[in-house]
Amino acid sequence: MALALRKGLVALAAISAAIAVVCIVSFLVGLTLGPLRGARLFDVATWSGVLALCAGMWSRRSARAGRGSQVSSPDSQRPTEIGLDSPPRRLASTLLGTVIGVLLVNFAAMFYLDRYLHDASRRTVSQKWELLGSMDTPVEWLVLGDSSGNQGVIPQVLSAALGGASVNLCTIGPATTVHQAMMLEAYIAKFGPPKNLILVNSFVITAEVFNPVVLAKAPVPWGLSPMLRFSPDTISVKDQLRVALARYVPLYYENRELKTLIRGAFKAPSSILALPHRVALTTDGYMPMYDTVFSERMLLEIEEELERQGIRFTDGSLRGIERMVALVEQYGIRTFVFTGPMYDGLKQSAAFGRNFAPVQRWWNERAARTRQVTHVDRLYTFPMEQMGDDAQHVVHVAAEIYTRQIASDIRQIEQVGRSTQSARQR
Amino acid sequence: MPFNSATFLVFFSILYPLYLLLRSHGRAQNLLLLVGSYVFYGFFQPAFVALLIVSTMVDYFLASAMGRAESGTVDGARRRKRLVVTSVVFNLAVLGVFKYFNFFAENVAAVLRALGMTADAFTLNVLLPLGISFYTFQKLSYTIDVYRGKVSPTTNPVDLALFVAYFPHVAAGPIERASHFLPQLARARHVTAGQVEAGLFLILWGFFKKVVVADNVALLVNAVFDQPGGQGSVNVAVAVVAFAVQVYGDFSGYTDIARGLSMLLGFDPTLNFKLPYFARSIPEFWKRWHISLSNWLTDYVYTPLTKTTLIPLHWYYKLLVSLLLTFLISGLWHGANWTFVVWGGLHGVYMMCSVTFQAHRRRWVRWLRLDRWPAGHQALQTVFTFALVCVTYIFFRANSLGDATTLCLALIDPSHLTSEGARQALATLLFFGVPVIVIDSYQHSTRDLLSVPKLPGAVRLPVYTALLAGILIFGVTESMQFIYFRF
Repeated sequence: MALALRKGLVALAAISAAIAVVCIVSFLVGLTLGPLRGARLFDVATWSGVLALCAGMWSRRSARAGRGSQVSSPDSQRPTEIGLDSPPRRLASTLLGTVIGVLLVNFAAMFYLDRYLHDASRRTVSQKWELLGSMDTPVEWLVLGDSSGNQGVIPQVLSAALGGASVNLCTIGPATTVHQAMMLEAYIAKFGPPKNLILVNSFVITAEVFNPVVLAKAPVPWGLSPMLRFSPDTISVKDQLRVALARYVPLYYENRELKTLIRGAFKAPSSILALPHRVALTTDGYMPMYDTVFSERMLLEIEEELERQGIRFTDGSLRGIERMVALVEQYGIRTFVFTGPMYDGLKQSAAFGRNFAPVQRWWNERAARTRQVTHVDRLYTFPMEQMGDDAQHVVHVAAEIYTRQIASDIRQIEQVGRSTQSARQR
Repeated sequence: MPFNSATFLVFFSILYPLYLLLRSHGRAQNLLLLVGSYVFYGFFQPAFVALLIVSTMVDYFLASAMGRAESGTVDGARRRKRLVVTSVVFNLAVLGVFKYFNFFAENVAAVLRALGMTADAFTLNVLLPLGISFYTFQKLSYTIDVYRGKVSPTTNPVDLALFVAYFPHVAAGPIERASHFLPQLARARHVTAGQVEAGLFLILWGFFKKVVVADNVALLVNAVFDQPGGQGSVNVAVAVVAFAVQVYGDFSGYTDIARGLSMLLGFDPTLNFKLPYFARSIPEFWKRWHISLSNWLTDYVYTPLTKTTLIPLHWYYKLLVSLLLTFLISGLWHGANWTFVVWGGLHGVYMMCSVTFQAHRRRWVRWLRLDRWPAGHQALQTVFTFALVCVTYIFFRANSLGDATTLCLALIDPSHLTSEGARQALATLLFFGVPVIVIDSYQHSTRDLLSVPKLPGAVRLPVYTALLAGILIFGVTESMQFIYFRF
């Protein structure tokens, strides 16, 4: 029986050892194939240094343990907790030093993210503010909106069709209409009210949710200065605080961006030195797009999303729109509201038709209450080969067409307006 | 109210100043801690506070009765034995009803069905009381130690109630011993600056291991263990190693926070981890991992089994069988599932092999000349031990024995050696594992688990800053439960 037990134990030991060896080999294969593929010399050197440090600590310990054929560490060599005998002053300096350290890291992150934001969407927001800051002269046509306008309206084409200079300060949907109102305010503060305002937004702009991290990219000293222009009617005090925190405490609020940055630096330490590419904008703010990656599968996803969620009106988006309408009325700015370019297959979709009709109705009713605002409820659609990366972003060729179409519609509205005016005068 | 929640922060912010105000009144401090502990426990499961109180009082009266029985007389000894047996039966019955009733009922029904009989499992629809495995073992150790004469029965029910319900330890240990904890309750605690600094470091390091390391690595683990079918060998290997990192980060993180809180309160808490993945053999692993449970099982299960006359075997085989039984019980203690039993059984087999082949291993080491290269030899031992432990983790984490088998087969299937997903998972694992490797390596090299707070300020402060910034940036904010809360 003893022999059988012994043999059984040998077999079990052999099986366990085999499994363990396979585990180690598989792990090491993955370990070497993964990170080393295409690594730079700088990165390999950095990580070799870290590994050498750990190996050094290990071998120091092993050398102290001495030679021998022990099968495990003797009790005396296992680590234990040796109490800390520190005076209160040391404790106080440690606490203070750590708090100061975290604050310094936070401000370093703020400084870095203000300049080298890796997220392309939020970089677009920053670059549009830079563009507004660098403008010397006012324009005839100010274009505001989301990414459908950012990639869909070419100011050069607009100027050629309507006459007078124009600029595209459209950003991204998650910035919400509140951000568009901020842009309009900043423009008015710098140049006075623009003559004409063109608002270009995709069909889901009213559903965008207030996003403090994106709004924090606006170079407005949120919440901490008397320069704060927004009243609680537009952004609640709580939301203003969230924006202020997102602006001044990036360590917590920008952690997604910092995660990407740090993890990139871990894979390749040299990446921390490589500055992110800027978004390719023309000098008048248009962001051209050339590659078509849109597919029917993406359309199905949009339809499913529409079926599931519909198109909501969020509190934040309504407040942003009301703020813009108030400014437009206050300064008498002529405003044209357009739906951004979209895929023609989406227009055929029953889910889209059912959900977008109330949105169109809402815009028509809102525009009807304000003399300065004209809502153009036409849908500008394009075939799949002219779509960019989704159903609301068009490639450059389609952007030219879209810009001409909205310019033509503005001209028609102007003509109708002039004839109505002259009829009234007669 | 887990430690990684805002509620706990509020709770401790109220309790701690009050505790410090009572610094010269030990009894009042104990009472405050007891009330706080019941509030803490009640936040999880208010209904089971009553169970905690009643079961504590039962043990209080049984131990007091044991203290009154004269140990020198035959009658007294019999009476003491009856009382300790009552305590053991009572505690195991409570544990059995709440933790194992459904498991045994389902298995008995399955066996009856396999024998061709019709049987429906009668199961109880009860929740598992939080920390029941931990506090039951604590109470058992108290009554058994009173019986053995190692501890005098406490005359103060508040002290015993606090020993059982003490909030930093009640949910997932460390399993304290009455001989270590009760004397600390008998005097007022004066908190020193050194204790506060060490406690704050443990809390910071514990939070880092939990919310940064364990909770992020958990995503890799869940992706494989929750869908075990069709996984490649590297995928499984990475997930298993990731689980090793997760369970260490989670449990040792919890323990560090618990011990750090205890230090802030002026206690000297039991050590539960000694860098277990640096162990060079399985027996050493168990002297470094969940030490309080290992010691408990050694004192109250393994040692009595080796001395019992109920196992009619030669002492050597009795020792091996005792090892196996102890680890099977350890597995069952972790959870009412066969996966845990297999996990414990594997560790039992490892321990038996370790004992059996100790002399052979020494010979092989000399034959391979490994003893002339101690660093390499120790590294090999460490890696091999870690790999053996990882194999057992497949059973520890798998949702069922079927899933564990699927994963074991996938692990030795060479047809899917690498994949893009595995490489990304490995990069993530390395990313979150490196801080633990670096700090643990430093602690290993100094043989001091509090070596980081002893670093010079120029190194210590950046390390603390990096840990705190790491928690803010990478911390998983959704309050994920600690793994050992389930046990």
